[in-house]
Amino acid sequence: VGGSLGLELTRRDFLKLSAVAGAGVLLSSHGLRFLKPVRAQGIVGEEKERYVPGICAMCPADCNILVRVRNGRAERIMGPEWFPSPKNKNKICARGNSGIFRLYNPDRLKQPLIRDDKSLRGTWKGFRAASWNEAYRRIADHLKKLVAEGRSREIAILGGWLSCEVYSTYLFPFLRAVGSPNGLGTPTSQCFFPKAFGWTSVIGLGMHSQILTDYDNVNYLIVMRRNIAGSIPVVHGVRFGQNLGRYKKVVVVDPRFSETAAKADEWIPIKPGTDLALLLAMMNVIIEEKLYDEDYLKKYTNAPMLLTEELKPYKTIKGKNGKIKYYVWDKAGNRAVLHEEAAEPALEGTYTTEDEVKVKPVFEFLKEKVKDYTPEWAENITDVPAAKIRNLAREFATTKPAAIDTGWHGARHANEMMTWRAAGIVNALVGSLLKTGGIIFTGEGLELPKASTPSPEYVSVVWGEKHHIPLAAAGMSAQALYDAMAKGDPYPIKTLFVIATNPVLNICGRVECGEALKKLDMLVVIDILPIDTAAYADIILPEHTYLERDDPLFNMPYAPAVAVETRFKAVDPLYNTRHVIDMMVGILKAMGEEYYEKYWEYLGGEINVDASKLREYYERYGVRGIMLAQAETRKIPLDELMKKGFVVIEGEDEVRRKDLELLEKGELPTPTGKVELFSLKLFELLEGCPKEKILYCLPLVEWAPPEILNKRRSDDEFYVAYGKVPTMTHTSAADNPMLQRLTPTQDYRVWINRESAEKLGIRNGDKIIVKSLKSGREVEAIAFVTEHVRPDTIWLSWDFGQHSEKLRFKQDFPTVTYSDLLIPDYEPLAGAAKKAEIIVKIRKA
Amino acid sequence: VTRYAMVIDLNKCLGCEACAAACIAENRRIQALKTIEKAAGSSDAYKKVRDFWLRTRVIPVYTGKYPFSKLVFMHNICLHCDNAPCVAACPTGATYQRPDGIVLVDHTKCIGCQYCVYACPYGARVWDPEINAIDKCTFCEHLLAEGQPPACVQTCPAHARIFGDLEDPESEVARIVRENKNVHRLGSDWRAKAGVFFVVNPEFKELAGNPKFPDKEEELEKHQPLYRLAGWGVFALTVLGLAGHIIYWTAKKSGEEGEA
Repeated sequence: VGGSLGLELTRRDFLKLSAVAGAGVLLSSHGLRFLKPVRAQGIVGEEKERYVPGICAMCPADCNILVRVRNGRAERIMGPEWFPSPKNKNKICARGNSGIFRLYNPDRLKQPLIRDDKSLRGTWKGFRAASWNEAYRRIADHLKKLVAEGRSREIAILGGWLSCEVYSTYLFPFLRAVGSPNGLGTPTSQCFFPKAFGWTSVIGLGMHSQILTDYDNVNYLIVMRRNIAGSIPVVHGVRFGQNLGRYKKVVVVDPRFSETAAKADEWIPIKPGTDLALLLAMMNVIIEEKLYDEDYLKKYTNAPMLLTEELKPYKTIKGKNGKIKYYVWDKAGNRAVLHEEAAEPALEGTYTTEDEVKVKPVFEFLKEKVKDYTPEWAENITDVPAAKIRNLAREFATTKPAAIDTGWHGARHANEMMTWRAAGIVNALVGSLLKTGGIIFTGEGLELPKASTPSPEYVSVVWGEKHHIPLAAAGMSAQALYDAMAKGDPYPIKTLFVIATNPVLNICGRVECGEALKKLDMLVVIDILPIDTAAYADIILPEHTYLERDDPLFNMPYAPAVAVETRFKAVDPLYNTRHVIDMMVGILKAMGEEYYEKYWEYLGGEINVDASKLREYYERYGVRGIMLAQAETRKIPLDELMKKGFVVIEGEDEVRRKDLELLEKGELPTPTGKVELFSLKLFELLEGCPKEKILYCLPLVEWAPPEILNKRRSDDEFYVAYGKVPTMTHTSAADNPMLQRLTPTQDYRVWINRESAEKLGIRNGDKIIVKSLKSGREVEAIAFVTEHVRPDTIWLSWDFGQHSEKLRFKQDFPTVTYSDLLIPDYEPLAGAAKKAEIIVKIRKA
Repeated sequence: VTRYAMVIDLNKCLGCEACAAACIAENRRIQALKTIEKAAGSSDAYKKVRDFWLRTRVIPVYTGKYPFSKLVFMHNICLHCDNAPCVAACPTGATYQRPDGIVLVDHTKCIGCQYCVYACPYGARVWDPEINAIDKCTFCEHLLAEGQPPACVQTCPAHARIFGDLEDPESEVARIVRENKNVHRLGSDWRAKAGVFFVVNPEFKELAGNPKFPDKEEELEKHQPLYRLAGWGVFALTVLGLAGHIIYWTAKKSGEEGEA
């Protein structure tokens, strides 16, 4: 510790009010202050401060952090100032900075709780403190009974983003050991899956952790259905923000004037759910005016691929590298040849092959398809003037490099998948994919994990097959879980572990979800806070916060680098809490040695580490032992890992080089290895696609309207746009007192356009009733009357609406529980939520 | 000589409030934890934490008319002025400016009269019973002494808060102040020259760090001087008080003239 004033700060910690406090009662509070100075007393010997590296867990962006610790107390969390991470550099956001107020939050769950009376579910009554042993024993006995009765598949884990991102690897072996295939995550189908699949259909990948907009090099950026600044995952925020002023133009397409719009050169207040029409019209202009990158299309995309008139690939062969080879029309030889043999592949025209088949290149079909999607057509749908669309398309195609942002969340509308597919194709038309200044693969994207086939017993698979949801298997549909719990469809799930997620607020339909949870035989909630869902639990197991735990070794997501990272315990656990892995292992151990042994065997297989070594290290060092075994096996330098919390294996230059190489060699993770303007994956799915869903499955592009299109009938009805506020993460941060302090008043409120509000007699700050025409439920809220949202649309944050009485720092005025506005229904491709497909009626309360 | 200064680039600020959050953790952590503890035991926990005072804050200001809507994130922080009215108002010399420009409070000399609170046009000071003195931004001088940047600067994702020595022509702050034509220095047309510079587009210039924030939230109002002045009673008549008042009004008056 250097500097006398650093010491003084500590002195304040021990400042005592001394004897004057007694006299104070006689004086006014003002008078008291004149009895200064007060001397600091009893200064305790100071520990030298330590900086403990870790990974933030305040949101899913996983920023690398340093925790400053003194005398066993966490003082401040900061970005890795002295060794910037390839992810968040050396920065963190307000949530990250407020992590200590999660650690020291008096509302935390402090010990295991058991409730014997199931009729009290949904309330906080009837819980009693229990020992870990009792809790483990009770769960173990229950699970053993299910296993013995052959009812293993009734067991499921529902994990939140933390579980999905990093802990799933450690949870699946638990499920396998008890014989269940049912690991599900709320983030996938509730958050990003349709968007991810849209991207995947074009470039083979699409999770936000796998792709990155190259903010450092893009000149013309369109941000659509997204709020980079307001949601502020620092990995993106730091790049987007630090480049402000360098971009030639930033355009934000959003029904609401977001924090990102505040930074943009142009705001396009589009009608909710119609971005796809805008994108199709951009394609129309770019193709009609020949503004596309012909060279890129020929070299790197399957635009020249020949299709028959029925829109089926004309002849394909499986290549040695597993990639599909296709035929193109070689203008040099004037015949159909394998794409790699063509000297001059045609993008346009109609041809007849030697075997008398009439064929056209994909690009020709695309051109014909978007011919009618004129800017004038789109104006009618999107409420964006045709001239503006035309101008946008021209600027986008001529100001290179240009990119439409990757997005993050994408489960708003029924046309979500097709919208993001179209965004990918517009990027492809101007040659932006996998190129500098466009959309690139991150380190995680490059480290393509081998696709694992889910068990045919997996609830999402069985449900998906039954209801013809072609992507349900990959989507981990939460809807499947809901149906299984509520209706036993496709088969009952009766025992559920909810780990770090809050389905009552996150799955569509708060009431319905609660009712479904009440039908369970056993609900175990593992969390750090008494969240709404925990009120339905039979057993609550309190977890360490991220500042109190060691962790295994994770692959670094999001960053343009291949790297590994981990957490180190910054402070000793404050309460009688445990690590989620300790809980899984503890339950299996209580079930018996054979289950315990299986866990290590399966985990060893998952992470390629010798099982007996894993077990031995775990028994010696706890969860840190797992990390040590991994680091040893992968030869990760421990000293560097312990200092920084991450180790870079391949840096940004290398990742960028490899991205280009994938493009050059045609080895993208798509079926053809090319950027796919015609998606072979979707083509495959078409066969299983029920007729009414075909619009959403088409392998080229197609206008697929949102369900709410033009359904607003009167002045008191509104479309709904929703989003995040920078100080909150989903519903998980509203109990953080200092984040509540920092949240601006209007962020809690329902945004309603000034003119529209006036028509309804609503003034700023008025209490209003929001009635969902979908769920029929009415919710109270406060109005924020503003010029910053479309007149036909309201905007609100999804972050609030907590009901749990145990969360003492939640806002004390009405906020909307978003899941109250919804019912359990799903988008047609992946069984994902479609959270913005609602119309609400607004009136003054 | 060194003149520490900060540039707040409002064109870059994303409004995420990382700066404000970092400042709580670095500088008002103990107060925050005590507030939380007290609030948890009360029936209005939310209100109690909402009343927590911040050394620096971000205030979103919404202007314009749909669809020409505008939004700028204003920042509230001590501007570490030269010839600061708070220094002039302080009867005991507790508030002082260091040669390097940082305006500090010597806790041992502070008698809690709060003249400085009333004198500051920016609402950047508060009486803090926890430290028994006035609390305000220190530019994190305890971190500077260790060679670390202020907490808010360290954390800002968009690099919107920039810190350095204005007298060093090579420093980033000096370069921006010299070269960026949108730099706005509050008080530069009167005698209290700010050590915090705002980069702000001309359309928002009048809002930048203006004492009359258009979006007056409940907590800002809470720290307005009037109701506290009323409680002063006899004390306000003491010689100390009179002297302070004269200085306060002089400073305030010249401030108003400066704005006109």
